[in-house]
Amino acid sequence: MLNDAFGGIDLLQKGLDAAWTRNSVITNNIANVDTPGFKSSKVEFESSLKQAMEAESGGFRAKTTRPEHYDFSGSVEKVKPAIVSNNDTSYRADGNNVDIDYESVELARNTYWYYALIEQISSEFAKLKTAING
Amino acid sequence: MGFLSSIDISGSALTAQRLRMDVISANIANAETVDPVTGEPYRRRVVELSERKSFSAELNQAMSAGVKVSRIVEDASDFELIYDPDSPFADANGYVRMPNVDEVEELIDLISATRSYEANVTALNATKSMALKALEIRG
Repeated sequence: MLNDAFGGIDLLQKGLDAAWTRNSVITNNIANVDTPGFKSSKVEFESSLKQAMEAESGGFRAKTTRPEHYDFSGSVEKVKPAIVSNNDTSYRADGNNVDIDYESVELARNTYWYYALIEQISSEFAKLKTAING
Repeated sequence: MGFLSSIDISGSALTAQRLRMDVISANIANAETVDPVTGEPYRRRVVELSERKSFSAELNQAMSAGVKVSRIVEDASDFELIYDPDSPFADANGYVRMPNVDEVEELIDLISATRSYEANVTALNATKSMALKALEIRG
């Protein structure tokens, strides 16, 4: 029962982790804006989380008979933010592909996304508190 | 991912961009400098940046963590020749070699370094505000 009550918070915590990792990656992209040959990276998380959540709620899943079998869905608990390098493009003659405008926008978006998650976590705790205190 | 690794990343970039500005300032300051003894002109210097990677990150081909100044190189381009037959360093035709510093180029590089510095300050402030906001979670 209590585990269920914390389920939403666990999910939000995953979101916070992803947002923090993304902040780190964007910061690194901005730091290397003048580094010759540097390739920018990005964080992929939301799409894989969505996929895992859909799979858990009755989507496609392979039958597994051993723990090492791959079930082609991934459970929500296992979803982690993945850092993907963008190696295919060059933005400038020195081989660097950091688009500073894109990174600045993503930085701002990610910061407010993080704020929103924090507010949601706080309100989840407030709800629990109300339920406990009556 | 360390709690404050983002701050460290931005910090490394601030250091690197500040050094770039220092070297550009030195170039502009020495745009007319000739060694008083040998007559050898000042050579323009350029900062070379590279990704800062830890050894384990290098092994795993993981993301780099910040930027570092790999070295400061001298610009090998030709010195400027000016006609000044009265100079003690003038050659047989009356020409004196002067530093290969182009002030306009230096000023453009200076603007570029300043803007990069500002971008990193913005990123640092974003990280700071995120960390501060996380402390506001109350049970």
